[in-house]
Amino acid sequence: MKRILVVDDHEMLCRLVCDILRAEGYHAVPATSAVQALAAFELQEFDLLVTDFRMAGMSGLDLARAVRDRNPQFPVIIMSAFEPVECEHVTLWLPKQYLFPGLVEKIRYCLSAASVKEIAR
Amino acid sequence: MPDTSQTGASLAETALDATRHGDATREFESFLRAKVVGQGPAIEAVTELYQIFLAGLAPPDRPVGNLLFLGPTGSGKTYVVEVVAEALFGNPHAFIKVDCAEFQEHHEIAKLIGSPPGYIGHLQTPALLTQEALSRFQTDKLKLTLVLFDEIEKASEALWQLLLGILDKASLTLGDNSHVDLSQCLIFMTCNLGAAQMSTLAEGGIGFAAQSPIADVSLDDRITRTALDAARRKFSPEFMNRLDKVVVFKTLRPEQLEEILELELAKVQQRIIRAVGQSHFTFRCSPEVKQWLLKEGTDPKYGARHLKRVIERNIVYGLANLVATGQVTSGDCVSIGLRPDGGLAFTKAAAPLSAQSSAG
Repeated sequence: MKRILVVDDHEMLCRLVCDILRAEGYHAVPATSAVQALAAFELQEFDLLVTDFRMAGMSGLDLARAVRDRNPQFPVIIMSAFEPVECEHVTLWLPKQYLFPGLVEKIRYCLSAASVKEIAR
Repeated sequence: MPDTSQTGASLAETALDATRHGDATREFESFLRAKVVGQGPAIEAVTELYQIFLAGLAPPDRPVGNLLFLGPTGSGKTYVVEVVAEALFGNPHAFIKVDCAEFQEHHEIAKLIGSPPGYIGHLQTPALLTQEALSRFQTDKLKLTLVLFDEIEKASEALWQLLLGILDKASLTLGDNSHVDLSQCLIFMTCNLGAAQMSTLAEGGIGFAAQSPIADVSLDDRITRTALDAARRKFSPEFMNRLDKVVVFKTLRPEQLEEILELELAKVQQRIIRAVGQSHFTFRCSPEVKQWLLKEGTDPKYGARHLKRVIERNIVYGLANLVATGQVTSGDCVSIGLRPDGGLAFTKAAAPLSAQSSAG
């Protein structure tokens, strides 16, 4: 089962997203801050990071950078209510107003074998 | 040994009720009945075997029970196994599932029991049905494992031979020659044989003119006969003789589908409460929306198979998007109605403290 870390300081949304991803057959773990997310990375292995863009303290972009510093190919999806920002550390952007079903489709894409190779290139 | 021929004459006799269930079994049955709609015979069959197991009267050197579930697709055969797992272990996925469609070729049996000596992959292919795997879901209180062989009609001859041994002797020899004991297992097998004929019956296609797809008692009888005939034609007498119970699942009637919809919507609300805790929100669907969900998610051919997905796509995704954009916050009550153009309309009563936007 693929493991996904979902990070959003909007706790209700974070937990709801995890619940939906679990119903889709993923092992989804919630974190409500980037600091909590980095701590989770220390303890467990994940296949994908889904994070909010603007969070109190460390932003989603900073989190993506920190994760990519350790693993340059690690897939990262950023959910945002704002315009995408050019960043080499982000695999895909997802506007929050179209979160579902977009997120499920993008996760499927990021985790498919062909995409993993393409992302790694 | 007391002389039983005299006890009747000298002692007052107490009437016993052999049909009564113990507290644990009654609780188990109630759980099943609260979650499974319209499949009473399946619940009764599982409950009876569970009662025998709890009483310690299951036959030695055989599985606790061998059940064959026949019936149209979408009638809840696999779902019953999930609910049994939830009732016993608190987890609907606490069972071993063998998808027989993955074992249609003779050599694919190695995925289940590991490669035998002399073959490539010997001691390298991990077997699915190991003793460790069987005891994975067992608890200190309950030494029972549920094993599901799904769509057994698709199994290869090699899997059939394996299955016959399991059903009869509760024993399996793996590729590395180790033995697996399945005497603490409740074996479920599902089968879609006769599905095409059953669908034709359910759609009213038999006779001189097409009939309306109304599920009635005679239709259920005909479906039962069709399923059993198909099973007897396909499966050998050795296999049929090893079964403790054969249950034919009935086509779901409109009122039962409505009941399933209510259960599924209640589950979504429970999920929201469980996921977000005290800061949850509630939702309710209008009767028109419920009818729309039933129309989109059920049909005579596939039963309630797509209902969950239709609810997920239209209700759950919609609610999540409202939360993501800050339109719904904790304490809100969302009403879901049907727009004139056929789409869903989400509304909520004005709340003075509702947040403007908490989206990041």
